[in-house]
Amino acid sequence: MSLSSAADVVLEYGGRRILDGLDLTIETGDQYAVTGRSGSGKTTLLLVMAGLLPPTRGRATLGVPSREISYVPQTPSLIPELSALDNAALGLRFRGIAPVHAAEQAREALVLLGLGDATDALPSELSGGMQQRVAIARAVVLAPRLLLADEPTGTLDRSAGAQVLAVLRDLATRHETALLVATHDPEIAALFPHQLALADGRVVA
Amino acid sequence: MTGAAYLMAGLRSRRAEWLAAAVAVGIFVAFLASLGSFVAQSRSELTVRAAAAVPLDWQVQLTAGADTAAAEQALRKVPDLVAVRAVDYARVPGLRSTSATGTRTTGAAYVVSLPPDYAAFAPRELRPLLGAATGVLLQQQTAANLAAGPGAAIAVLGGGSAATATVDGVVDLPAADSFFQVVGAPAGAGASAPPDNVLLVPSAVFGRLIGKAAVVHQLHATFRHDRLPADPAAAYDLSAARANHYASAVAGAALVGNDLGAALLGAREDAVYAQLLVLLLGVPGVVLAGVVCGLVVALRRDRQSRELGLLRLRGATPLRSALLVGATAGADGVLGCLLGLAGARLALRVALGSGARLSPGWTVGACVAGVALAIVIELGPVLRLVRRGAPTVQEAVGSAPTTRLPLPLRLGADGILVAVSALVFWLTARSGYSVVVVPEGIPVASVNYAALLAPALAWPGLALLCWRVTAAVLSRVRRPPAADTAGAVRDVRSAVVRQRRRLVARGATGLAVAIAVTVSTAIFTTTYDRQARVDVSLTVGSDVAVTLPPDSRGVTLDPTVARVPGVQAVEAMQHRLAYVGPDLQDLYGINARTVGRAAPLQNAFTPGSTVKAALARLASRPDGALLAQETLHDYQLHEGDLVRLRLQDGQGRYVTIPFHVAGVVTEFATAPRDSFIVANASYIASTTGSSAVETLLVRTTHPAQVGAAIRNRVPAGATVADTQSANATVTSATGLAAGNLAGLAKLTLGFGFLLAVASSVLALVVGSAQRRRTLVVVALLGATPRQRAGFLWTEARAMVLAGLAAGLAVGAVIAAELVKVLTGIFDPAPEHPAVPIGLLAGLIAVVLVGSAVTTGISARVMGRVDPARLREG
Repeated sequence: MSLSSAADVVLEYGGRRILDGLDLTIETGDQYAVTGRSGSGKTTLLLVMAGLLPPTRGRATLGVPSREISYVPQTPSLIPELSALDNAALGLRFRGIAPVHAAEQAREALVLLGLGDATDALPSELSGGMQQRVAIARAVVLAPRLLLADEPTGTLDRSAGAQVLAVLRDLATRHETALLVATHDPEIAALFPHQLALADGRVVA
Repeated sequence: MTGAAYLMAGLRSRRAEWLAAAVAVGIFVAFLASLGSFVAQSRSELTVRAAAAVPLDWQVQLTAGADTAAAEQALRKVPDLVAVRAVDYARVPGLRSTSATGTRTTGAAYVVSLPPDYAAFAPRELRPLLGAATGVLLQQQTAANLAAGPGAAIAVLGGGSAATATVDGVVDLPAADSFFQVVGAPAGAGASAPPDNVLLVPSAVFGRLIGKAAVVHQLHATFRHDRLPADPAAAYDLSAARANHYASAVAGAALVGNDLGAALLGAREDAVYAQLLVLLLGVPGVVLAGVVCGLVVALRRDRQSRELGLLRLRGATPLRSALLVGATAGADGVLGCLLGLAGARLALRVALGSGARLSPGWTVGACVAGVALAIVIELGPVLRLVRRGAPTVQEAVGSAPTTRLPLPLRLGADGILVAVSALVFWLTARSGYSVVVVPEGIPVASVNYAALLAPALAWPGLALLCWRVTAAVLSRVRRPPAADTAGAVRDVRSAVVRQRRRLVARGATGLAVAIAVTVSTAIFTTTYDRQARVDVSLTVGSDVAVTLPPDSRGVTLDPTVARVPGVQAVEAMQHRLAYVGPDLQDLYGINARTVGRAAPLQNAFTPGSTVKAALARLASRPDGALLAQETLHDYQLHEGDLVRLRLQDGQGRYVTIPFHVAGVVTEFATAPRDSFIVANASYIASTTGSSAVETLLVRTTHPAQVGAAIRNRVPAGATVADTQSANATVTSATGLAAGNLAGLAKLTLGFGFLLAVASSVLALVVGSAQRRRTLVVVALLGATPRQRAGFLWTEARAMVLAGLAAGLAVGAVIAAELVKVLTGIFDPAPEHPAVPIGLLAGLIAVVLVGSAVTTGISARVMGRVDPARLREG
């Protein structure tokens, strides 16, 4: 089943062409690593595939409702006034999950990501890497059909990075969640079945 | 990048931001320029009004043996002199008239020699009542004492057998107090009572009438008022200096009774009060306008920090960066000034009428202040950024707002300020709230600025207290999660607000101050307005009053003449003249049980008891009389004491009638400001044999219409006055016309409304802008627009409700303080502040609607997923 597809997508932003004739279809269970240098269009590709950024030309189509798609930005995007647990549970709460159950699921995800001791901490009390893991936990607990993560391990050490990848792949296995992960680390990219190499907005490999 | 290119690029890409900043600067400039122009204009009006109220500018009294011609010649050299007339008078043993009813003789009298054109020279000194306006004229009271009128022969006692004259007319001397003043009396000696008996004669017959009586020679002079300086103090100084110069020029041959200077001296005190009003009502508003302006200009700070980083990356030096930002701020200021000047012109026209003009000095000052404010506000943080370096995006967005109270609150500044304010207020209260001090004998009106410390400290103290209380309340608001299956996330929203309590409390405090400025001004001016109406009502007597001259024998007012459509109540009142010892005082005969139906009554009229109790005492004692404090003091009288009054009976003969003191009265309908007596009408009628009514007090809600209707029904000689017509001319005890305060009130209330709405809107916009990233994040998490908006609504509700509640409370406290501190401005003093419910309800409604609209729009705009923001991180 096609979750998101792009056909001959061109995207211009600020007078510059970011994506140039992109074609991509993501189906259930797909796992893609998007690589490329800084400015190659990785983040823009993720935004287009998440349905958050309409293309200038071409067609981008979502095959599932937008709330079945989770997007994890490159920089931590936590609500600064809420604890790690509340942040992680927030998506569930918006879906009407009872507070107690939402908190249970969020706590489990945080424990899996090594944040069992930091559930009550505010984002400002966490390191950048810990904040990123909370953001991933928040996305994971939603069990989306498609998860797009922008440099999810960029601010993490090797061990924490491996932990995050393990959680993402477990999610993909258990819920057949499709993954589209942007990374500049070839070692991480090598762990994914599919790899897209971007340069100047074009898929070069 | 050149400054011009940077400016143009900014103008093109951020039009709304520029416009918002310029409008904010414009509001500040408009408020300051219009307030300053109001001050300048009201000062000028005080001078014009004071000078216009003087019936005669100078009374120059020649000393014994002085050369009259030389003194007059010197007087004609005084700049701006219009005209001089010689006036002489002499005190004689008495006057006598003989008629068919018998011979009547007065006590000591004054015979005054007037030039033929004196009535035209000083029209407000003489008011013709009967017969001719020139020739031999008898003062109204003297005519009553002698039962004489035009055609009657009057003999001057002590003037010899030839000292008789035939009366041509009867006149009133409206300014007898100043006309017969003791010229050269030491300051603080107090006014002398005008003579009861006066005969005014042409100079040709003066010498024949007075015989060998000592003659007082005077030169009366009038000056051009249009050349006086606008400022009352400067005008007084000029007038006083000219009087001194003249006195030195004639080498002591003359003393100057400077009535113009005395009036300007009073106006100078009024100007001090006007200055206080501006300080206490206007300045807080201007400060608030400055703060609001700062908030708007500072909205660009976030973007500017990013631009600054870019500029520095491209090699711009800190100085160049600062100059570029300074140029932007300067452009904001200039655009704001242009808008502000247009706004100020409009505000002045609305507040003061089409004749109002902007003061050049204040206009320039306001523009300079506006530009400087924009530059300082915008440049200050930028300079800090230049010094420290711009924060990273993560630093800017990733940290939770601090919940720690700001330093002044941690140091307890709110408590200290409020406590000191309360202490100063108490000390001021002990001194009788004497804010404007006019020491006896010293012609200087000074301000007891220490008394102003109470409101000056209360403002910041109460504002900080609002901050503390709001933060404390928000820190305790905890909503249990409960079974939230609808995704309302109320507990989450309340947790967010709890964490953002410092910011919410700051916004609520700003709103509270804006509302408090408006509320305090509204309460103060409504109280002033109410007291001014009471003052006018007292001066007129009621909403409408019909009056005959006192002791108008043979004429009486029938209460039925006042029964016209629209009348709610009519009260008949006697107005006689009675001697207390040698003092002639006005005596009012009332029905103490019913007089309140038509007469304005306040407890302040009867010190030591309520007016209701005082009237009840009077009603219970038929021969009771309420006397002035001064009379009780001068004659060593106490409540219950016997006092014998001499008053005329039905035939015009003076008879002695016993009364008993029933209490003190300081003010009463139609009564003069000095001593008078209030007694029971039935007792006066039975003891004098005359139940004639000289005054009708009429209560109505349509004074002008009812007054006009009654005017056609009253007998000849009766005067009909109504509060609506009198309102424009009657001034308070301090001389401040109601129009002055009304103008200031319109300015402050107008800008107060504007600032209250601007404060709430701005605080909400700033809050929404700060939450933009949060809203985008929750949108990414699948929050519906309603769920996203819920975050803004919760915060808006907390801030606006706290701001409104605190603003109303602070405004009420400040207004109560102002009313007490400025007690001297009220006449009569208010018993309690008047609360304008309708206006306050309007203010609340405007703030609530403005806040709701802002929050609704913010929720729609801010919740949109902005890829640029996601790309920024």
